[in-house]
Amino acid sequence: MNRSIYLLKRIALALPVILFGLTVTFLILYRGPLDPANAILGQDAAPSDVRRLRVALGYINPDGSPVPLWQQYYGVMSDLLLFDFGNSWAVQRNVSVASIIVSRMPATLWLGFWSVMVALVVGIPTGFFAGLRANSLSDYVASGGGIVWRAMPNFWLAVILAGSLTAGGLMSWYRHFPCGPNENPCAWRTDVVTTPSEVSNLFSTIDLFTGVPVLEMLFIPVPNGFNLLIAFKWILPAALVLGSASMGNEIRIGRTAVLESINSKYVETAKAKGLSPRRIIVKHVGRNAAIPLLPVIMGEFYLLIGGSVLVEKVFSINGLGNLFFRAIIVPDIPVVMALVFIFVLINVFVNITQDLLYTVIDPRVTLEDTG
Amino acid sequence: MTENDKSRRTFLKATGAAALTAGIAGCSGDGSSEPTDASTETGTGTGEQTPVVKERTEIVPGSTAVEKTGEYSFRITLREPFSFAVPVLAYSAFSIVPEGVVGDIQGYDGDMSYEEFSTSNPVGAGPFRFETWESGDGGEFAATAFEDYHGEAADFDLQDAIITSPTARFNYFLNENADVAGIPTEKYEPNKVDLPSGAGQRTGSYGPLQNDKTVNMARTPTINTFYVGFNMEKVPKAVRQAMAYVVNRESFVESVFKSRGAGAYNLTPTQIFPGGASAYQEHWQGYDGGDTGGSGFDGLSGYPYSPNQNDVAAAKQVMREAGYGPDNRFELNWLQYESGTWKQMANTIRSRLEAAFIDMNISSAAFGPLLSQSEKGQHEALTLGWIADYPAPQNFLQLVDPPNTVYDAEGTQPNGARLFWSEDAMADENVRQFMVDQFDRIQNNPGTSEEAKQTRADAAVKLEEGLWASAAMIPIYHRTDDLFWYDTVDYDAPGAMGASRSKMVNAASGVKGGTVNGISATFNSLDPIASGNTASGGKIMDMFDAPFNYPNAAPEAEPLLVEDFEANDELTQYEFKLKEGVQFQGDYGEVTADDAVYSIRRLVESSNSTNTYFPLSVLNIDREERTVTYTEAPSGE
Repeated sequence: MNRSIYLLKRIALALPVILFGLTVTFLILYRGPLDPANAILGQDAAPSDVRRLRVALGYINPDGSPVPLWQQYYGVMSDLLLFDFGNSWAVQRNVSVASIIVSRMPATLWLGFWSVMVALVVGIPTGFFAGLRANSLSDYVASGGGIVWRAMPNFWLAVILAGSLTAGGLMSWYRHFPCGPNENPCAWRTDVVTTPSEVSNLFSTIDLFTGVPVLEMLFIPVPNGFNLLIAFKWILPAALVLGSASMGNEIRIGRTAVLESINSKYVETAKAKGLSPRRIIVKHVGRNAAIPLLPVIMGEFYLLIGGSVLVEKVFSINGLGNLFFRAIIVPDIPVVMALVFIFVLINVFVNITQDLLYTVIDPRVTLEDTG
Repeated sequence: MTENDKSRRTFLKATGAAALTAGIAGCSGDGSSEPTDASTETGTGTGEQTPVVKERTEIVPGSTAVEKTGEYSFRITLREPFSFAVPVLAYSAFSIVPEGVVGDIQGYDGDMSYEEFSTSNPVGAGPFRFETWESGDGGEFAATAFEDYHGEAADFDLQDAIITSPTARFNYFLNENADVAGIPTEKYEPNKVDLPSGAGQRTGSYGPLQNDKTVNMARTPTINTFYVGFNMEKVPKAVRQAMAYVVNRESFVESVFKSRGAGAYNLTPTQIFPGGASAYQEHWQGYDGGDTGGSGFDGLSGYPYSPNQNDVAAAKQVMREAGYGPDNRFELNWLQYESGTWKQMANTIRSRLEAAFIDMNISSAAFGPLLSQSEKGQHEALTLGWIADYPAPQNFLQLVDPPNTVYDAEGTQPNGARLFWSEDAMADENVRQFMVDQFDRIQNNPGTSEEAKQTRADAAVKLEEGLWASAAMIPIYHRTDDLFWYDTVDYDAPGAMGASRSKMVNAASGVKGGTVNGISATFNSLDPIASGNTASGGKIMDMFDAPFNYPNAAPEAEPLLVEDFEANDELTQYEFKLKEGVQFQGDYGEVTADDAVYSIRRLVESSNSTNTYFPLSVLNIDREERTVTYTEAPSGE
């Protein structure tokens, strides 16, 4: 089957998945025990205010009768699918959900990017290294380390790391590194919690020709070197926590995959042909070992969605995970629905990408229908 | 509560439970549209198919009884006499904003959009000018000193990190990112405290912290009470009394709250108890064995349920007398808000009650669901707290005025303590009537004369005794607020009304570096009439000025934007004279009577107002209402 037809088919099949996910979320939010009006207004709210808010939130009609569930469902779904996320109820009253999400996005993307990088850059090479030196001391150290990283739960590791970075902790030097502890002011200083403003200024948009920011002209994002460094230093502990589990996974699976392929016949053949060890590892062992690694790597994206809630909370990172948590607690249903919608879309997109990548890595995997 | 409210409640009762539950079923009230007040059901009942004809009353726009009487003077007319208008007008929702700044009431188009005003450009006459607000956990809030402030201008700016996790807050403080902060109970170590003994606010030191620093500390008893309330239609008196017997406040406060509070025997906190702290203590001590009911009930002398001890034997006996025993146990559902400390306490109570033939199930809920479940009466035992709106006993005791403990979806009066102390309650009718009468004595003697004060004080004390007799509610503790600060600031910790009622300009001085760094909880709006929680209340206090103010949260309100005021003899009309020459921030000119009228009208009439409780229920400002008749389709759900 043609790859683009396959892609279209997958996208068509994804629609029911998206609808199902949203419907379940809708039912939980609108049929569950949440009571936004009471939560927003609090204990000493005048009942007339509560009622007025319920009308404004679309729970009851102006005449007091409850809005039927199907009507609420239709309203919510049609707005969502047209990417009209509406206004926030409680996180930031009357501000558009889209602008809230956009303002929280940079921190989460930055965190996600570096936690994937930590896992990829440390995990896979270490796994390969261990596999190539199977049953040596360095293998034991590497794969033992992998198991330990894998075993440490995020919520625990985050609290421990935040604690040891804090004044009086083992690694409190990290905050002012590389300045001395008494060097003030120190531009390199980072806080353990809260989000520095550098994160939202990682890039400047500079006009290509004049070098000055001009909105009307052709402009491109140019990295702000120092901001990038500061933001990297700040995010590293959180990214390490979030990436730790997948890093451990990648070490273990990378090791096994390398061990499997290195003993197979085609590697012997390659050796016999006189290929250099480097070429064998990159071209033959590496490529085959990547097949079992692919779902693990892609799985990191799911982890980032779920895991960021926790890590962002502990480090007080003003990102989407924290927003999601806050929106459920207050509760702010338009924000929750919009975020779930985005998470479902990411999920579906990642899944489709994963299947397409299989065919790229392993030509034996085809897109033929078996029937 | 007004006579009107009361007759309406009686009317609802007469139409029967059916009408009441009909209002509750849709979780919705009986309906109205945008600007509303009380509404009255005059329908044909809740027949399945018959459309219900209903009437609702709504406030006529512009009818709020606040009027300009001169360039700098305005008058407020109340429906009923009320002597606490001054402290109520110190509430941040009454902050004065420039006339016409937003167009959310009739007659104004607005200088800016509501979103702009409430999130990025709030304009007030307060000591700090808004700078930035990045909302959300991990965000920040900043404001700079307003040079033209009518009081003494601040010589420092404000910068708050918005952090919600207690651990993250503590870490932030340890790293000296914040000058002033609280320490969460789980991180707080009582052995590090060095405070002088005594009552009232105490200042001392705390430390060393893990960063080897010793910080300054102030412990302030704020005006609040946390309690366990019962749904009296579901929980028999014996069960309520049994719990009262096994509650040992002093040991709870010490072991669960690490002594950051004091045991509560009265609902009215110590600071505002008639006669003061010593009267409070004398009131509950020395129970003489008086009866907790009966036809001649006229109060009690002393707290009747074994104060300061865990009296399982007495609990057992009171249950036995009511016919319970090993084979006839009572199952009690306990509902609490999400809190580790209350959970700990609930577990202790559960294990003690087990011996007294009561099986307790503990469940917890977020604040919203907790409120909606309890207003529908789905709870049995419930934990809640009340923090003073204004420092007077009736602000607390209105919670237990029996008619106010039954949910009423209408009107402006919020539900009290959710006790459901109706005529159907499992309680002595005499005690209920006693409570109603005593609360009426408070309501009917609003004056400032010595005699009226004496009557109110006497009634307040009697209400506490009626509460003991019925065991409708068990006050548990009065919280104290601890604040900690480094030497980078000379900090005068806010008083009994709590930090959210103070302006930083009155608390901080000698600020090193020119900025006071703090930690704030999340908040959702910078509009005074929509400020929902204590965090936004604190921000409003810094940027806006109201007619009155609690100077650094001391419990005596003083004029702020107002220079002088007078009330008529009936205490139904107040005329205020504003200070002249007070400037708004950002070129909005002088504060005049027009601005005051506009601001109070917004609080009453704007659809953005989430605080109409204060003008309509507490103050009860006069307003015109019109009746709208409409037909409601039968509910098809």
